[in-house]
Amino acid sequence: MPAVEIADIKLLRSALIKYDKVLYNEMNREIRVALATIQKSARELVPPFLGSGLRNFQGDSTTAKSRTSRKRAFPKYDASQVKKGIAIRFGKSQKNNNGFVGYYSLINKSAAGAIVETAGRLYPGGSPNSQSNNPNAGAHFINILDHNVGNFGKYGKGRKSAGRIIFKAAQEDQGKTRDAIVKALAKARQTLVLGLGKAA
Amino acid sequence: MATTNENVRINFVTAFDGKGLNNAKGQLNSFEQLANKAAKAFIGLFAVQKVTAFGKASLDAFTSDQKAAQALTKTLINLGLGFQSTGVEDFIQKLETTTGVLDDQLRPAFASLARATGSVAKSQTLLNLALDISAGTGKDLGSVSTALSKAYLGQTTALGRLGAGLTKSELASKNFASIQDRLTQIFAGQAAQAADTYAGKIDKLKVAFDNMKESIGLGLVNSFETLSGPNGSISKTADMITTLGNAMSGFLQSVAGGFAFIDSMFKKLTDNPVGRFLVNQLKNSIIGKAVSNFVDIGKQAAYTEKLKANTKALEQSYAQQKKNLATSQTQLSVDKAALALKQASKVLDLQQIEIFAAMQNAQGTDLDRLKLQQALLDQNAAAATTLADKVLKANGLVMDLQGHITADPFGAWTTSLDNMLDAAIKAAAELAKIQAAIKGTMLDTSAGGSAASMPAFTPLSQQTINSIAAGGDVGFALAAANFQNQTQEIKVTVDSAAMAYGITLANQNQSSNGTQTTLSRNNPGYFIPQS
Repeated sequence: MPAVEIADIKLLRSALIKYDKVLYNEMNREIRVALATIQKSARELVPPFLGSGLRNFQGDSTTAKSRTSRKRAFPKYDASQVKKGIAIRFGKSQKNNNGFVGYYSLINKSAAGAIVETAGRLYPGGSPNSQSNNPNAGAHFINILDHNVGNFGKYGKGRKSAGRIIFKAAQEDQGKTRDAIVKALAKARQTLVLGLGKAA
Repeated sequence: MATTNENVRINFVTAFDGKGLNNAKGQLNSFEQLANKAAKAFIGLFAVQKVTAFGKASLDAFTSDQKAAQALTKTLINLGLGFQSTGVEDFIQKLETTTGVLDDQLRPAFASLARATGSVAKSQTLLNLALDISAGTGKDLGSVSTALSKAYLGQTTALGRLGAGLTKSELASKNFASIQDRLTQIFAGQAAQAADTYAGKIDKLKVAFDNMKESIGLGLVNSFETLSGPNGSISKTADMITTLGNAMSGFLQSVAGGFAFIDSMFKKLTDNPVGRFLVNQLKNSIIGKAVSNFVDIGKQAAYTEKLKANTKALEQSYAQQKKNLATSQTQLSVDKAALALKQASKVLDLQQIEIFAAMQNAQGTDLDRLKLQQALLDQNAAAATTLADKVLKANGLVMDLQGHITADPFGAWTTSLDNMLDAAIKAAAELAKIQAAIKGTMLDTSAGGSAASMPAFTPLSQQTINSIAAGGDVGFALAAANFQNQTQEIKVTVDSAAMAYGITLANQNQSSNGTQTTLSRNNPGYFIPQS
């Protein structure tokens, strides 16, 4: 269920903005409803606590300090922040290596959320570049996440299309959101074309 | 919240963004167009270079040919054979065509033989023989003809070195005629044979091509002569080319500094139809060394102008920097002044607030004065002038056009003092009346006093009053003297009950202080007021 390519989406959006702003807003409303559904599903996958064994990652009142060469400290897990970080984006994403840009996206933008989402995606047994004094820390961390959050879900091809929260939600969604978005776009396009034809 | 990570993002709709690719395509197309342009320009440049080189070679061929022909003609004239020079030239041309040997080689050879033999016919025969020997031995025509010339004059050494098949004894024993016969026998038909070969035919083509170049060179020179006018010459053309070079030099100078000079030069040049044609020819064709020289002149001028322009630009840049520095310093001082004004304006604001508050309850002249202060703070000159006049008028003052106050500012003071003095005189008079009125009433007759016991109260004399009115200390001194030595006796009546209470209280206080108090009815020890 990869993303569907709509070649003229940029043109469609600009045409809607230019000729029929009401239709554009209506289309966005429909898309937002579709994305809100999967956003809610994704947020439901975020556990309130990660269980025992991750004392330094579990959220508490203390402020984390970086103990490595990184400027930012390793974030604390806070379920509410992670849920808040699961957001909807309408605008286009950065261009990928193949020259494609994405529209109508679901992102997991909080630091802790991104860690929970992707930890172990590249190195399931822990990163060999880890700066922890405990060589098994990475594997331990990933195991606990797998146990408490769940295994990776996959949406699309490639390693970067896997994750524990939003990707899993998208996998479980079985393309309904994508279809709803495409349907809304198609409907808007058809309405616009008809409207322009009448106007002409 | 953290930053957006593209790795943690699901895109439900994607589109190919070919912006970069289109840019790359555009750049490639631009590059291709540029390359094509460069190629065309290069080809054009190459063609121009080739044509230029050909033109230059044509001129060289013509000039060298002309030089050789003139040298031969001169030789024949010197030998007394000048009348045959035309025939010799025709012979050489035909020989050149048939043998494929250039006239550049034939003419010096013929001249050498002519100098030796002194006969055109003999020279022609020997030149033919020399051509055969040259073709047979592979030696160059110049060497062979020189050897034959020397042999004709009795020096056969050079001839022997040609490898023509003659022994030293033959050369030493035989005369030139015998040697010539022998050589003719050996090398007969060699030149014709060689001319019929492939190489010979190529040589003939070369000859034809060379002649063409000479013709073109001749045509170019003639065209230059024609360009100079009906009675033109090459020197005239050279002058015109120099003029053109100067014009172009001026043009380059004008590009750097201005267009006035080039305008005049080109106008001068193009006024003449010949000059106009020459300019057009310069644009479209080649004019050999003159053009090269002209271009060099132009380059030199351009370089000089560029150097001048660079120097000027540097000077301008330095001046601009200096100006910028001065401007920045001025700006700094202006900023400082603005800051000071800003600080001062805060004070003014405060003053204005105070003035505004005072104006709420002020009336009449006070209000005008406050308005004047406000106008001064606002720097409202018109309002300030009007209000100042108003305030001055209210105070009995007038300001003239120069801003001077014309009325006496202290005039009112005298008036005030006069008023005060009048008031003092009135007060003194009233005091005298009061003194006279109370003279008989101050004595309390009920307490045993009588009017006769009161000392006489002398009122102020009229002289004293006048002196006080005149001002100064005299009046007051007289008044003081009037009251001097006038004793006032005052009797006080005390209530006996109050006195007793006071005594009792004093005793109690003393007792409380621990001081023994003895009260004797017969000898009380206290002051008993006498009634």
